[in-house]
Amino acid sequence: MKSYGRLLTFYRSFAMPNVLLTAVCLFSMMLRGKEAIALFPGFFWLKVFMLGISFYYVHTFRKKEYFYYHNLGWSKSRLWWMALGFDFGLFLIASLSLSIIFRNV
Amino acid sequence: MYKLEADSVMLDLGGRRVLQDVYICCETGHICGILGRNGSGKSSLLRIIYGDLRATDQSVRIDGEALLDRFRRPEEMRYLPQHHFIPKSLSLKAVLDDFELEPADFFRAFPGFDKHYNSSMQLLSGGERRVLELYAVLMSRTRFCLLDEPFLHIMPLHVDTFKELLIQEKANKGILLTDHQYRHVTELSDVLYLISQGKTHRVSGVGDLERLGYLGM
Repeated sequence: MKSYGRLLTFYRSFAMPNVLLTAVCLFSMMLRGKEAIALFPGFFWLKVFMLGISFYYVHTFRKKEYFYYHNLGWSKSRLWWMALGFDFGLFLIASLSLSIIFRNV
Repeated sequence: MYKLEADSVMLDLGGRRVLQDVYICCETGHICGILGRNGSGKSSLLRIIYGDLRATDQSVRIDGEALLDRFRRPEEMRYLPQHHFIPKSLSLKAVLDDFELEPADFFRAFPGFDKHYNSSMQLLSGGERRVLELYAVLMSRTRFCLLDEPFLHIMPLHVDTFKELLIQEKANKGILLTDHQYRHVTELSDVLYLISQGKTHRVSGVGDLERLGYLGM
């Protein structure tokens, strides 16, 4: 569990803009109501783009910190798969659920 | 008792052959010092052993078993790079906790750090951060420690404390150490290597270092 706390530390290093973007996307979809699903493809690629920027930022400006996580047993690939999986998974689940809920209202 | 070996290491950087014909062996209970001029490949060799840098050719083994994967588990080895590596948002408490170290032992070895217990890395000076980084890597549980310029930015009083800790810790692990302050390295090392013209030479004293051109006659 302690080890997963450090995954959270890693995620926090680039979480702010990504969480903000997810919130903006969800809010925009809520405003569109029944047509929310129409916004999904655009937001999907926007999220992909933002996560790409996050990867570049960490890989360029915070790459020295990889050694900390490595010393605790976290490889770069495992860190990224889990952090991106969490962020993107949260976006997918929230936005698709929202689309389904509004379609059935 | 564990044995770490690296050989057949060949590294080319920018069209220049940096390392060739390398053999390093480090066992539990030994401090192995690596010396060499600037750019001779000392740090690269440690990074190759740690799996962070891929060489043209390499063989890294623990107890004769090749480490084929690039990822090294913390139970196998831990690595102290030349630069700061602890995320600035973490507190001293969190770092000691992550490396499963007792705060009381750290404060006993380095009095004065107790006031920083809940402080983040941002509030520590460069030297203080280095003390914590070296302590975390050196004292945590592992078979081998790879220390790249461990005494960089550390004040002499703390260097002396670390020398005692290094001698104490070698009973539990093998330690590979490189530093430009060669007197510290020669004083601490049970086995000493010099990298010259891409090759490792096992040396036994200052005479050998002079003969191989690392020190002036």
